[in-house]
Order: sequence, then C-alpha cells, then structure tokens
Amino acid sequence: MSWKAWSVGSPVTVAAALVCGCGTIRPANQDLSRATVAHETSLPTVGALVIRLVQSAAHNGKFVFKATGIEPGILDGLQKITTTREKWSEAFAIYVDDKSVFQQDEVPAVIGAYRVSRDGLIFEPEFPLEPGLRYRAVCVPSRLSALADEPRTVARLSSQGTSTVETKFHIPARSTVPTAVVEHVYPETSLLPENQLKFYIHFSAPMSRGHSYENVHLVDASGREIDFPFLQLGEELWNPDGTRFTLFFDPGRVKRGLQPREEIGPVLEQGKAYTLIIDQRWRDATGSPLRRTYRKEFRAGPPDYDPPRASSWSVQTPFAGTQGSLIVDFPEPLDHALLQRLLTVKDPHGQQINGRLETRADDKRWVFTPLKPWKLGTHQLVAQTVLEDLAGNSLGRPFEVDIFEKVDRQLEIRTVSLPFEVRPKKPGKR
Amino acid sequence: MNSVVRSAGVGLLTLALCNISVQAASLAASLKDKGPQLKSAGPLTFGPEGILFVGDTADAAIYALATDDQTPAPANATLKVERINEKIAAALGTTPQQIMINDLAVNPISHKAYLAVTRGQGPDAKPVLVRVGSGDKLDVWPLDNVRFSRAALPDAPAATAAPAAGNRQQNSRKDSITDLAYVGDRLLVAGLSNEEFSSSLRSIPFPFQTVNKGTSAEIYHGAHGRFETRSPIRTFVPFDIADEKHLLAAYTCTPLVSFPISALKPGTHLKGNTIAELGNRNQPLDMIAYRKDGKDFILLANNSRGVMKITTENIDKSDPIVAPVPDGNKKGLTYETIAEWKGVEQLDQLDKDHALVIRSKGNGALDLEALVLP
Repeated sequence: MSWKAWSVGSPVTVAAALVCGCGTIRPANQDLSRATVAHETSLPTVGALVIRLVQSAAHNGKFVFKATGIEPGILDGLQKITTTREKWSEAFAIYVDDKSVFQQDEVPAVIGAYRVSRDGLIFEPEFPLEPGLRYRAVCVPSRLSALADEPRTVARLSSQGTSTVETKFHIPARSTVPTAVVEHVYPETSLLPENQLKFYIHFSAPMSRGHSYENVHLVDASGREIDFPFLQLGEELWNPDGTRFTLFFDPGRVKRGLQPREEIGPVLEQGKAYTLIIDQRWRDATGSPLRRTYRKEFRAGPPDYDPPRASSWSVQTPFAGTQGSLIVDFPEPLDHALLQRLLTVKDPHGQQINGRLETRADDKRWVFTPLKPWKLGTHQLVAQTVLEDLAGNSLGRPFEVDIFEKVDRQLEIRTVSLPFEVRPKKPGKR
Repeated sequence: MNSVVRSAGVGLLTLALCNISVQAASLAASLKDKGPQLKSAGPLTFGPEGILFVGDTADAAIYALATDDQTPAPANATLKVERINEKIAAALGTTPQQIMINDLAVNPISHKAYLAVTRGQGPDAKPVLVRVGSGDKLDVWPLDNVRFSRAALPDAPAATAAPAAGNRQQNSRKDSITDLAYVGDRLLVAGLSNEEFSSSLRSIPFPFQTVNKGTSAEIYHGAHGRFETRSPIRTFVPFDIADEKHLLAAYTCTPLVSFPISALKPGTHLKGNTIAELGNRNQPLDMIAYRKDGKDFILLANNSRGVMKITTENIDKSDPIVAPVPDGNKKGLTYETIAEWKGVEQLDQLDKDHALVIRSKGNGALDLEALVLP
C-alpha cells in the first residue's frame, strides 16, 4: 500500500495545544502548510500522534484523514475491535469548521468509514472534501486507548491533563474562472405566439441546480420585470447531463379560463416586445458563474390554438442511390426538442433508417441525411402525434380541449405517416 | 409523504388501515435485493411494514426500501431540529448551499422522520437519506445492506419503442417524479416530462412484479367554461369521498381536483372535477389529509400563498367548478390560510394531532419542526 502524505491549503494556525499520543507536547502554533498545492511530507516519527490528510491509493486516490504515531499496543487493540461509527467518532472525528458558513456552534461529525492500518487510524469521508471549506480533525488518544481496551495507556494519558489532538485543514477553493455560456435558447424565432408554452435553454457545460429560477427573468419593452411568468418546480427540469434546462411558462396564465389568467392576465400579450434574460450569476456544476448574461429578445404574436397538421408539411425527396437529404418544411415552428426524437424515416420494407438530423429555419425545417444511400421506392416519414408546436398543441389535438369533445379516447402511442417516393436519379443530375 | 388514507365517511379510517395491514403481511419479505444504488432521492412515502418508497428521477425508477423500522414508538410532539440543513451539510462534509432537502416522510409505526436529500448541485450530485428519531439526533442511513425492490418507469412513455431516427443525440427527455402515494395495494406515481407538457399518473401494483407494469392515465382537470386541459400534477393525497377512494390532486396550474382511483385504468384519459381554485402567482408544494374534531381537512403548502387549511365538509356534495371563478376563494371548497405556518416547504403528518414540517426561517436556514394541526 502506498501513502502520500498531503497537507493542503493556505497556512492554517492551530491555536490549541497539540498533544501527541505519547504525551509529547508540540508547539502550540503549528503552521500546517505554507503551500497552497499538494506536497509530500515525510511520515511522522513513531510516538508522535499526528493527523494528516493523505491521498490513498487504496481508496482510488481519495483523500483520507490519517492519525499516525499511535502506540503500537493501541493500534493492535483497535485492529481487533468492531464498533460503531458513533463510537469511533468519539475518539477520532472530522468536523467542517467554517463559522462563515455554519451559524451554529455545534455541528455533527462528518460521516465516513474507519479503518486501522499497520501504522495508523484512517478516516475516509463518505463524500469528497469540499473545495474552499475548512475541516477540523480531532483525535482523543485516551478514548482510542479505551476503545482498544488499553487501561494502562488510558491512565497515563489521563494523568497528563490534556488529551486532544486537533489539526485544521483548508481545502483549496476551485478556480471560478467563468467558462460556461448559454449556447442556444429555443425557440430561436423572435416571434412567439402569445400562448408560448416553454423555452429550452442550452448551456455549453453541465450546470448547478437548485437555484435556477432565480436566474431567469422576463422583462417588457420598458425594462419592467414581469412577475411570476414561469412555472417553478423544485425538481427543476434538466436533461440527464445537466446542459439543458426546460422553462415552462406558468400554465395557469397560458390556459384560458383558469383563475390565475382571469385575475392577472396572460404573461405575454400580442404585439408587445419582451426580453428573456439569463443571468450571468447562474453557476455551472463547478460553481463558476456564466461568462456573460444572455438576452433573447422577441415579440408576442397572435395566440395559436390550432394543432399542427402533417398534411400541411411539404417534403423534398432525395434520389435513390444518393445520400441526399430529405427536407421537410412545416408552416410553423415545431418544438425543438420533440423534433429531435419524434420524427423517423422508414424504408420500403418498413425498416427504420439511420441518419443524421438537423433542424433549420427556426425549427420550421427538418433535414434528414441517411448514413447509407436511399433505396428506390415508397418510404414513410413517421411522426408521433405527441409532437407539439410552440403553444403545446400536438398533432391532431389542441393544447386546450373543447369540452364538447369527448375525452375518453384510449391513450396510445399513435403515429401519422407521410409516404414519399424515392425515384431514380435522372442522368446528369447530381 | 402521502401514505394515510383519510375517510370522509364515519369510522372508516380504522377499517381501511386494518385492511391494509392484513394485505401487507408478507410485503417486506418481497424486498429481496440488497444495497439499492439510488441515483437521486425525490418524493418519499411510506407503505405498510415500514416500507419506504423513494422516487428516483435520475434512475427513472421507484425504489421500495425495507427500513426494518417497525418498533412502535410514540411521536415526539415537541420535536424541533433548528437549522437542520446546516446539520445535514456538516455531516455530509459540505456547505448548506450544496444541500437540498427534497422531501420528508414520517414512518407511521416508529414516527421517525426520513428526509430525501441531495448533496451537490451538478449532474453528479449524490442522494442521501437522513433519519431523525424522536430526539433531535440525525442519522445518515447507510443503504449498503438495505433490502429493496425496484420498479423502472418507462423513460419516454410517449415515444415509440424504436429508437429515434438513426444517429441522434442522446435522449434528453426525462420524467420528473413529482409525488408518490401508497393506496391499498398499489403505488401511485405522478410525473412531469421535461419536453412534452402532459400529465402521467401511474398506478403500480405492489409488490413490484415486473418492470413497466404500471399503468398510466392522462388526466384532464375540470372544465372552465368551454375548455379543459391536460396538466401535470404537483402533489396529491388519497382521500375517501362517500366511501370511495379518491385522489385529491393539486396541479401545477393551481386547481385542486378530485377523481376516483377506480377510474385509473391503463392508457385512459381521465377527467377530474375541479373542487377549489388556489389562486394566482402560486405553486402547490405538498399536501396532507387529517381529521380534527370529527371533521376532515386538507392541509396544502404553497410556495407563495402559505399553508392552506381546506375544509372537506361538503366534498361529496359540492358541485365541481365549471365556469371561470372571478373570486376563487368564494367558490368550491373553502379554505383559510394558516398565518402562523410561514415558510413551510415540506409537510407530513406526524401523528393524529401533529404535522412535521420543514420550514424556512430566512437566511437560508431550515428547521424541522412538529406543529399542532390547525
């Protein structure tokens, strides 16, 4: 097993008297480290109880706290016992130690696992240490002796009147140089229906969650912030890798007839201009803010209560034997995220074709380029009916349902197919 | 958090609970796997025999965990843990800013509180379950040897089984689990997608048989004038109306809606009755049902309108709201806002007379506190 002893952080002064396991008094003030980066130090001499932060090869390179200089008899005893985490922590414990962060005097010990090695007692925190935070390691030799059932040592240590070894560590803060940016906000069009349902905000890097709604603002043409325009959910709607945030408008103010809209009106009003502001203070997953604030300016157009109809789409077909693109144009922008997964292409045998996908023209155009040349014959463009436009109307069904229609239809995954013919390439055409 | 079935009828509550315990005789034994690997911990609710259900959005699954916490103990009606978020952060070796308390559930047998916590804010954040006993002592629950079973939720229920066309980017769609409730022999799971705007409410028989056995229903809430809408459920609670089990559901667009659980059939559109309007600039957060002085009430925590105590006295007689309500407070079920219960973010019933809440005290501090039910 290899150990790398590591002291980290800015110089930290330990005010308390430090007592070694053998009873030797060390200087009251100990400068743990003058370096802000890791450096190796030699292992302590046997007999001097010292707590260090070490990087352990046995723990996948994780940092663990290690108390060395414990008398061999006590270590032998500790190796034989089985006890609870709570009992261990009475003898050797790590605490977060930052009065600027914690407003209470007493905080519980950091949780983790204890292990006895041939030359010391190891505490492995359950979670990685937090950059920028201070920790305090406390070891009580007499309690270690008691745990190890070493009455002679306990008596000797007690007679010396003081019994605590305390060492502080400061973990260097992460660099907070801003690197992440907002790459896109969909829809990209600058004219949105008055009953626009949502935005997708795409970031260049994984973002932090928990305070997202504090960082999005909607202002009108005069710069006045609109109150409560968005649906705020504790869960926050992220994609799995944390790079896309879904922001719904408050549906109570989008739908007709609901109390919020009746009382305070819709969020967007036809003919007015707005700016969506994504604050630079939004933190990425490493804690750094964005490089800059992002603004999306748009106008509200007429509300859209009509479901999109596949029959109104125009399709430009490629030629057989080529890898030309299939181009589908919609009369209105469709939902950017749903366009990525709800349209598929099938060959004349009904097999799904693999290919590369792009959306263009503010999501009014869908371009599909196959990985292999097109076959001759009738193909199908298949759309799932849950595909939505910007106002949440889906294929064949408006966002708001007229109550004079029945709503007891079976909920099935349904599709709409548009056949298109792939013809032979004419001579001379590319 | 929503594990108790309340009865608006007379004397049915005890009967209902007895019935559940008889059915549940071998439920904990069905949890055979060991060491659940949660990817996240969101909504919580208790079933019988101390079984804790955890909604894991990141894993698109529900976990049933054997707490083996079945020793009856009285509730501590004076329980208060000040700055619990700081204490949890300290135990997890981090700062309170890196901690989120996602839900709170009280084991109805031991009256221990269980908290679903996230440590970290990025996509690699880790889930933690924290227990609080009758004292104010916190205990991070190690899951290594905990018995469990898992029900996977279909990640994209609206999508075809075939993968999207070809060389696509990673599927970014995800269902967030917004609430859980255990009713009789099944778990009800409300979900919300990060793409299409629709409501899914799944009913999953327990013990979990095979994955994807849950059924889903698409829910409309009651008509306002001419139009009605699909909408995601934010929080719900089981409740008996005229001897029939119903769900009272608070929607993201704020109406409170009831519908009979028996109507939850596979793949159906389900229509509920709007029984109260909860006001604008407001999102519901959490809900419990309780009985006081022989009457049944709903307690609903909101993000900006405080905690509402909703009377259910005429819930089986009241007409659903079918027209726009200019003054929502006067139509449908009546409610009062409990002024003393400020800052409540999480809520569960502690015992018949008390609730356990997590409330914000300003300056980022959160307290866990037992409160007398109003």
